Amino acid sequence: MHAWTWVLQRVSAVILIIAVGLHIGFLHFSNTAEPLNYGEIVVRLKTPVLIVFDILLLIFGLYHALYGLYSVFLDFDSGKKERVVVLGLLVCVGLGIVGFGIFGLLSTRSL
Amino acid sequence: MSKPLQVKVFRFNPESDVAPKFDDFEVPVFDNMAVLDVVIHIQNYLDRTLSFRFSCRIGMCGSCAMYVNGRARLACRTQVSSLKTRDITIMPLPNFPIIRDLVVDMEPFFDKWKKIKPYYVPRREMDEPVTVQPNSNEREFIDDMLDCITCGCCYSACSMVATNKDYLGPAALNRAYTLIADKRDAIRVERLKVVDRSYGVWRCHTQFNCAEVCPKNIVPTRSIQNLKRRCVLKKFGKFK
Amino acid sequence: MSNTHVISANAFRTRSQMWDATGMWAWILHRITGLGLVFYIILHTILMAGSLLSGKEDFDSTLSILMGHPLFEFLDILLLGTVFYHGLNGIRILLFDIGIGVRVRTQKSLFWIFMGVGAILWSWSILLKLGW
Repeated sequence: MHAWTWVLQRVSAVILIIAVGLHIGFLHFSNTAEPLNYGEIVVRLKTPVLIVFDILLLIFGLYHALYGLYSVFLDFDSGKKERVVVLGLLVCVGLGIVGFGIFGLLSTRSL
Repeated sequence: MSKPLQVKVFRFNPESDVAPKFDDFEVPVFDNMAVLDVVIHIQNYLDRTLSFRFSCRIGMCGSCAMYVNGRARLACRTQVSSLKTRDITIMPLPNFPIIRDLVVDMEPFFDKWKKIKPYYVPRREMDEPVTVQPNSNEREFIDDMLDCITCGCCYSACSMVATNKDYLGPAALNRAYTLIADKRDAIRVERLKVVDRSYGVWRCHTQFNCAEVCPKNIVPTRSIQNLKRRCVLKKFGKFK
Repeated sequence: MSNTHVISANAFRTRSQMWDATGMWAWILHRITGLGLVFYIILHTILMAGSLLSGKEDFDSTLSILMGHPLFEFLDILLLGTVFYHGLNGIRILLFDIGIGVRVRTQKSLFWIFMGVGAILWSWSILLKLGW
């Protein structure tokens, strides 16, 4: 298990370097003087490529973050049971937040 | 450097002390003095009860490893002049249980050493005396990592050893590399399984503390990185 | 070993570490920034998704605070610094993972080179943000 998760951490790292760069560049640093508004987001997320990009950013970002947390946990002494519980918690938190995030993104598209 | 050294030494005798303390000693300096000479002087002339290990006094046996002025070093190979100060603090190696004063219990270190089976196991079917030329690429960088004297400096410098009691540590993992990378060894795959664990290679975060303190200039980080790659390749069905 | 020795062996351990190691500080900061970013990403996702779900008015008012208020401008600058550090040191680690620079002196040089790049990137982004 560890070899796969370690590789995936590196893969997500490379993806995030590019994706977070783009995300911050285009959204956190908006070009207009006014803040982003809902209308702009709706227009943006109509494009399939962009909404898929955001969803992938969310998934890889949360994977990288939560695996990082698990790594910190493993660096300290722990019992087998504790490891299983913490892993389970992190998976649930991850799925929950990714789910909520995707739900939020999709809510901007009229179905 | 004619003024004497001001030496603080960690003292703890569990048979008589409740808690550790530091004793202060003034030690005269001579040319080419090593830290080992300092503790020997203290033991000979100032306090006969000071306990420490040493043997060869030439950096070969690994017995005299101590924590001197903030870093794990071999006492016999650390020139007092290299510390660039007259104030010297000597403590036992961190991350080890302490037996007395500067003497630590090496058992946990060697238990982990033994876990990776630190000895070459020959394959039965070998007709030729030499199947890998010493200077061939197949030797990778094994030959740079063979000089380990099991002094424990790397193990004591590693912050992952400090926080996780199960972590195999740089010395054991480095030795595991020299054997796993050796095409002639019979149990390479078995060894890789032992290190491919959360308390094996995956606890290393490339801090390089081990490599900085090694008196034999071994870089366990490099060995461990190589082992991580081997673990990944194995998952893809390739064992090199 | 006699009994007294077994008892005394577990009596005390010093936890002194090596505090003059560049690689260790690089890792400590990587971890601190990592934890900060985990906290941020969870907060950011929940806040943004929640705002999107609350509809146009709530979203617009939330965003106008987040992108207007000077406190958030300042926090944004800190966030950028954190992201740059974690990303650049992360690239250094990726180099180690493919076998480049895994030597005592090289890893230190790499660290300082990346910090230099980070300082430049961060200064540039602060200037951009302040509207220069």
